[in-house]
This record gives sequence, structure tokens and C-alpha cells, in this order.
Amino acid sequence: MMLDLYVRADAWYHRFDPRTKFGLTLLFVVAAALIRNPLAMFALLALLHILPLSSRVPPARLLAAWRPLWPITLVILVLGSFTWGAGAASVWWRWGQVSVGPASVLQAVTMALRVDALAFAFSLLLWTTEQGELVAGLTRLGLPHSASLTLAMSMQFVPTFGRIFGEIMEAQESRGLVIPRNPLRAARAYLPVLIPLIITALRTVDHLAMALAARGYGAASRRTSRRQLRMRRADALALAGGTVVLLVVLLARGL
Amino acid sequence: MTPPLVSVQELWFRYDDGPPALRGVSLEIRRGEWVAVLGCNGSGKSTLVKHFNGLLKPWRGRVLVEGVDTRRRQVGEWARLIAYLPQHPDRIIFSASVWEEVAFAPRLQGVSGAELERRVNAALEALGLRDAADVPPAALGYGLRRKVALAAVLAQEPALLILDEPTNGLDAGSARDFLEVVAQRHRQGTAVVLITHDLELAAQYAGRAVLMQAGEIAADGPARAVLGDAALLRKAGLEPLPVTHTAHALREAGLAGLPADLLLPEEFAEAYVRAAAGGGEVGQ
Repeated sequence: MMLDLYVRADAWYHRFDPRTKFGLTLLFVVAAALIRNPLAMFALLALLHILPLSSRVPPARLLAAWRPLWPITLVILVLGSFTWGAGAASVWWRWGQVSVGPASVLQAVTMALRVDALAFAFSLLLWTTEQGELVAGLTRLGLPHSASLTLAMSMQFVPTFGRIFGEIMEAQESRGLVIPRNPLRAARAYLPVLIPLIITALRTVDHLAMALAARGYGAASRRTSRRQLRMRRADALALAGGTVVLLVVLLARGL
Repeated sequence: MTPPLVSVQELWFRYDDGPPALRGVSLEIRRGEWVAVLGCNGSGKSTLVKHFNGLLKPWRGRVLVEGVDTRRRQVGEWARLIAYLPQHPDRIIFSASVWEEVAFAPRLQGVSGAELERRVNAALEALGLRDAADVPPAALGYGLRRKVALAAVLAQEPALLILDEPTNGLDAGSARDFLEVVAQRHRQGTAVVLITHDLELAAQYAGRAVLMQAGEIAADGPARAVLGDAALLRKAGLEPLPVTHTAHALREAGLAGLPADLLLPEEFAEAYVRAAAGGGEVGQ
């Protein structure tokens, strides 16, 4: 049972201070937002595969991340290719407002890769940072501890609720539920799946709040922390290097 | 000869790129049987039974339900024949009232009118839920939610009822009451597949036991024979029943006349009295 995304390993990216990983994630997000060239976007996505793999994140985890991503990627590619070509000088095919041409295809490819890159940027953070580090890092950046804990737990519970969604789906299908292909009818058919998921989420939150309160969370005015964060030279180098590379690439290539 | 209800043939399965969770499993489930599926955590019990109604599809081999390959139909289409009660009742509860919850699956089968009323009321009656018919099921306590979930699958009136750890979180009395309702349906002809860690409940209700170990069937036979084989159970990571232990210890200590296949306390008490009265004294 996978309770969170973190992959336990003593590897180079794992060893960065969580604040460094936040900074690097921010750099990847800025890069993904600014890059307009599909090849450069592809290179960024490739980098976001090489980094986790070189930090001992198993390929199966990367494949698992692609499973929900590929349908989204496909939808963006198809819709973008057909709808973003309006007004373009060169088109391969046109029917009223709908057209396909090199410009719309390249734009759709870039956008699809951008979404994938963003997903992998955040996945890299969660694969390599355990929950305690996430909380400590966010708290050191000035966020109240309760807010850091809430944010970290929300992120870590995503796969848990993914698993529960699968179990509910299995149970309702066993009762005869068939999800129709028509999207409008499908949305209604999903109610027997979504309602138990929401009820389970509320129950989980309630139990979690009680468990935290029972362990004294919020009782002390000052908290101590076993985890002492320390920025090392490697952290500074990674942040500085990442920033410089991003600036140079963006400025030099006009991407 | 009618085909078996479920026929599992050389079934191999693995999750994603993991190691095989099932390794060449073959078995048949016939109408009216009560089969206990036993094994320690991760032995493949749930993975196996999720193939019976197509929730999981074979990696290799095949699963036939009444002679039809499960891959040829959607899961929902098997709901007329096979009902599956998940471990957690909250995985199925979503309706505004207990009555509506229990009516959900029959309605999907096209059942309506007097027949729907009959099915729902029979299920509510069996579980003692008539007074809670209008209550939102999500607002009920855990034990009652479990009963609602069972009523919901009983109303499907399936030929095979699959129960995945149905007594988890219930006290001994509630667990027995719960399985008595299932036993009543079984007497009316419904086949039951019960996944459980509770060997005593398995001994009490199941006629046949399938023991899983590391994705393979370690034993498949009469429940009495499988559950009474202490060495086999230990090898599969399960602790034999206390009665089996005690009877074995008494036989070792010299009390002759105690049968080897005692499983339940009542059987043990009766056999002990008979053996002691027959001259088999401890320490002989």
C-alpha cells in the first residue's frame, strides 16, 4: 500500500535541504512557464526524468506518474492542434473555425509538454522529500507550522485517496455500475463513486485531527524540532547553478 | 453436467511491473458451495477473488463465469451473478437513505415495483434494519454500516456472494450474527466465498477451504482437513486454532481417543468428555 509519494533513498537529490528543493522546483516552474520552444520544453521534461532516476527513484514511479498524465497530454495535443490555429497563415486543413497547421501543432506540443513538466517538477519534490522535511522546510520559510503541516499532508494524501477511489470504483462496479461513454451521463454515473470518496475524506480528516489533538498537537506554545535544517555548499551551488542556467538559456536562446 | 459457477484456469497476475501476485492458480467454485479463502497478508486472497467478477483481468490464464471469459464483459454485467462485499463498508455507501442504498444494485439490474420492494425489504429484514430504512446510512455507526453494506449486496440476490474480511472490526457476537445472515442465504442456495483470517469462523461455516501462500494454492480441500492440519497452516504463516493445539497436546500427553480433526470448542468438549469417560486418562 503506497501511503505517500516519497521514495526512501540516500541519494544526491534527496540530500538537498528542502528549501533548496523548493527553490529548484520554483526554477523548473518558471522555466516551464516561460519556455516557448517545444524542443527546449522537451529538454526540460527530459531533465525532470533524469534527475529523479539519477537519485534512485525507480522507473516504475515515473511510469505511474505518466499513467494519469498521458490522457491529459493527449487531450491537450488534439484540442490544441485543432483550435489554436485560427488566423495562422499556413494551415494543413481548415473547416470553419477549426484548423490544423504547423503553428497550432507546435503550440499544442509545447503546452502538453509544459503540463507534463509541471507535474514532474512537483513529483520530483515529493519523490525526494519526506513529509517531515516538507513541513520543516515550509516552516523555516515563514509559513505557520499548522499551515505547513496541512499543505504537506494534503500532498501526501493524494495517492492515498487515489487508492481509495480505485477501491470504491471496484465496489460500485461489482454492484452493477457501468460508466457510460457519453461524458454528461458519465458525470452523473460517477456520483456513487464521488460521494463515498468525499465521506471517506471527511472521516479521515476528522480521525486525523483527533489523532493529532490526542498527541498534543497545538497544546504547546513553542514547538521544538528534531530536524535541524542546514544549507550546505551543495545547496548553494545547486540553487545558484540552476538560476544561472535558467537565465542564460532564456536570454541566450530567446526561448 | 452444468459448468462450474467460476472456473479459474492457470491464473497468473501481477500488479503493474511488480512480482507475480498469483502464480498459476486453478480452482472451481460450484453453486451452493461455501469456500473459505485463507492465507496471511499478501498471500493473494483478495487478488484471486477479484478475478471472479472481472475486477482484475488475468495476466496469463483465464477465468470463466458460467463458461464465459470474464474479459468478454464489463464488471457491472456480472453483478446479476456475483456480488462482492469489500472490506470497508464506506466504499459502497452513498445514498440518502438505507432503503435507497439497498435498492441501488437491484435497480441497476432493471428490477422495479413489487420485486424491488420484496428484495430490499427481505435484505433489511434479514439484517434487522427495517427501523433504519429512512436513515442516511453514512450517519450510522460502523457495525450498522457493515450491515447496510451486506444488505446492499444481498439485495443483488447473486448466485455467488464474495465476502472480503466481512467481520473485521466487529465483536465476536456481531461477527457471528453477521455470518448467520449469510448462512441463511447459503441454505437457500447461494454460493459463498469468504476471505477471512478468523479460522474459527471458517471452521464453523465453510465446507471447503482454499489456503493461499505466496500467490499459490497451498491446499484446497474439505475445511476440516485444511484447518486441522497445524503444520500446513504454520507453513502458510497462520496460527492453528487453539482447539487443534490443545487436542494435539493432550494426545501427546497420552490421552487416547481424541480425534485429530477437532476444530471448535464444543466439538472438543464433547470429544474430551467421551475420551476421558472411555478410559483415556491424561498421563497414561
